[in-house]
Amino acid sequence: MREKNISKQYSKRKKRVGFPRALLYYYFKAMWESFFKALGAEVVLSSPTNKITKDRGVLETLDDECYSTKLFHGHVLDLLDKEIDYIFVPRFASRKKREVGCPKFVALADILKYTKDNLPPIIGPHYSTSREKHGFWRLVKIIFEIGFKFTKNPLRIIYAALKARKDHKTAMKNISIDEEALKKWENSEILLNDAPLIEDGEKPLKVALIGHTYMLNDSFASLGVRQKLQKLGVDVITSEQMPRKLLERQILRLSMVNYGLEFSEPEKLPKKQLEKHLIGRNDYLYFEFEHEIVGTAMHFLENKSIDGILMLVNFICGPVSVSMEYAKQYAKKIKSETPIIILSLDAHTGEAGFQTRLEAFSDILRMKKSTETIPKSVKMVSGSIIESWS
Amino acid sequence: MTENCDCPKKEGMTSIETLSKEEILESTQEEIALEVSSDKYYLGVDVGSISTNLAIIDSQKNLVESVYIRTEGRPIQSIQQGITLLKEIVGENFQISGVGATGSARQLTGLVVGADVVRNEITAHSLASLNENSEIQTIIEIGGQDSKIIIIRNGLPVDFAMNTVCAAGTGSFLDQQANRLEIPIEEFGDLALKSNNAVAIAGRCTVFAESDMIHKQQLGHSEEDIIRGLSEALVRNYLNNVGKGKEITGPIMFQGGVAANVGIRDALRRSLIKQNKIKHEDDIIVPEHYDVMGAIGVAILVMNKIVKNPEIKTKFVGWQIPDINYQTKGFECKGCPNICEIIEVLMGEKVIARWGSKCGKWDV
Repeated sequence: MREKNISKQYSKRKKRVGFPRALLYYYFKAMWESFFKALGAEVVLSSPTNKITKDRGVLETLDDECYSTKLFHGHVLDLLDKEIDYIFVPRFASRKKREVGCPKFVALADILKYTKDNLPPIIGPHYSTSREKHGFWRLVKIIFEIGFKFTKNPLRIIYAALKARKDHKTAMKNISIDEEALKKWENSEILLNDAPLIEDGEKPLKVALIGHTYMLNDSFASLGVRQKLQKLGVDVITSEQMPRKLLERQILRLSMVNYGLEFSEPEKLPKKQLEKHLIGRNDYLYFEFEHEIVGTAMHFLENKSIDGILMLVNFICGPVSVSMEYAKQYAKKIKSETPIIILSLDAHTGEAGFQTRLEAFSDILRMKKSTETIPKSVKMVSGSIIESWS
Repeated sequence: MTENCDCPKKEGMTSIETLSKEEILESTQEEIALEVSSDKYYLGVDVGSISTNLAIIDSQKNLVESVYIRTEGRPIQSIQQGITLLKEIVGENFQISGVGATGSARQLTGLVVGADVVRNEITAHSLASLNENSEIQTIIEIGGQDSKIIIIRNGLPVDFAMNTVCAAGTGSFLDQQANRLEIPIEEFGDLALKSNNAVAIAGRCTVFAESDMIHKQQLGHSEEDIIRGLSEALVRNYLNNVGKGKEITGPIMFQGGVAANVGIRDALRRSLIKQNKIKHEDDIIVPEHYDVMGAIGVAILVMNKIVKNPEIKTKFVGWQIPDINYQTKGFECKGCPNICEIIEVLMGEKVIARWGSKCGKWDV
């Protein structure tokens, strides 16, 4: 009798789908959440990254994994305590013609399958436009395959897919700012965050905070970098906030430079001709999520309107080691005057070293900015002082 | 200099303030220097992982007095010890117009001494070096656990790097090897200079260095040659890690505790000349007070702040710091899964600060 009751309750209960709050989730959360909710499922998220997530993730994974992947595994373990019916870990490879995501994303689902016990069924659709030439029909297949796990009504599935698409577009639009707003920010007309803490008579520093979305939006993993910068009187723009069109333009330019084409004005080149140049080239920046990193860095290295660039990379990330080098070389190539600092983060919670570097960086930027700088006043009187030292 | 500093003459101070400009100009240069230097003093405290340095400067940025002691993992006690030593030299009535704290324990130090300025070591070191010599292009700082490089252009710091996870390119590497050879670290430099033939020793890690060193000893290499090899290994490690990709040009200011070691100075000179980074041996300058540069730098920062805003009253706790019972307590906050490690600083019975929480709920 009792068993019957439980099973009755169980069937009435919404099916629970767990999302690890890590990696791709940060890019596609709007799409995934609205799709599964519209199908009638209950979305269960792992808790925001905390010390336990980190410790469990680090213990669970190999040493060679990147910090964010370690956190991913911590989030999966967190979800397993939450009575979920499915866990959603798509085998996402690419969604564009040439560019791919991080190669690690494709493997996540299979790694989980073979390393975790008591794992609920994985919903892990494989999607790869660049290698497998998956296209629209593949997407339709994925949508229905997932949909029929939750509902028998095909119309509901179509509705869910369309709603997910719409919500994703809106979310993307809300995150990034348009070029007009960017101009205003560069001219110090607007702030993008809560007012930074500054002393009287000082102006906030403008810094581009560049990094992966799953790094910058995870305040534990990024050691609260945004709050720390705010306390140091810095207003940041993040790479995910950058206007998408501007970023794509920058990447096209970068590719053109690499092929010895004209440096500027890619708009003037016919798109087809450009594609012809790009296809089949090995040195094209083919990591999709690095586009916003390199593009943002390029924009601000050229543009003298901001005070500095802070690049946050997670330790041992493969794609970022490529984009970091692109950014460094580009800075050298154009002899950029914008100071750039690259900080790499791993599973350390001791924040003192991180704080010291941020403080020193903001000090340098402030000294550079103001004419009433401290070292200059030192310089003015230094003649007399050196004598008195000896 | 110290004999002038026993006590700030209150009458003298007020009189110079009431003097008109002409009157000041009339009095002789020497007298002004004396009077001015006896009116305001600033204290800088630099508490690092290995050493605790205190420095008092006058309003001309001259070093009046300094103290260098070992931290030995007890920052509060070493600050109190340092203050005691300073008090013995300058006397209880010595007036301090401003205090600054720097070093990796700057937050705690700031609380204990009542600092007006708490700043990071990079800024402090740049300021002190620029004060010493405004022409410098590079600052090389090798301390006990920390090493850093600061690139200066046109009198402004433009780039810096600090050692990361490993302390191999720092003083503790030498300390380790000195222990192993049972030679006092103070004699290390002179011994290295005696050698004409450095032995190649892997410097990437003390573990590798040890096995390498034992092999070389067994082969019959002399102690001097091995020590010189170690010095070169440290320099190589520093230049390859901290100095990687940095544009090192002369004049170079070499400071930090390791700058005391003549063997390292020599190895650094030779290595940089070999790499064509500098042309002459004189391009590396070791300042007279190489070991307390951080403290001098932060004292200058305080001075600048107070000169700018003369109405600021210093928060300096006073010379009774050694008599105050400071305590720190640590506990884990169980409020959320972050399990933050909270540090509580007590002054007597009173909690004066708490830090370590991510959410800020424990902040006083």
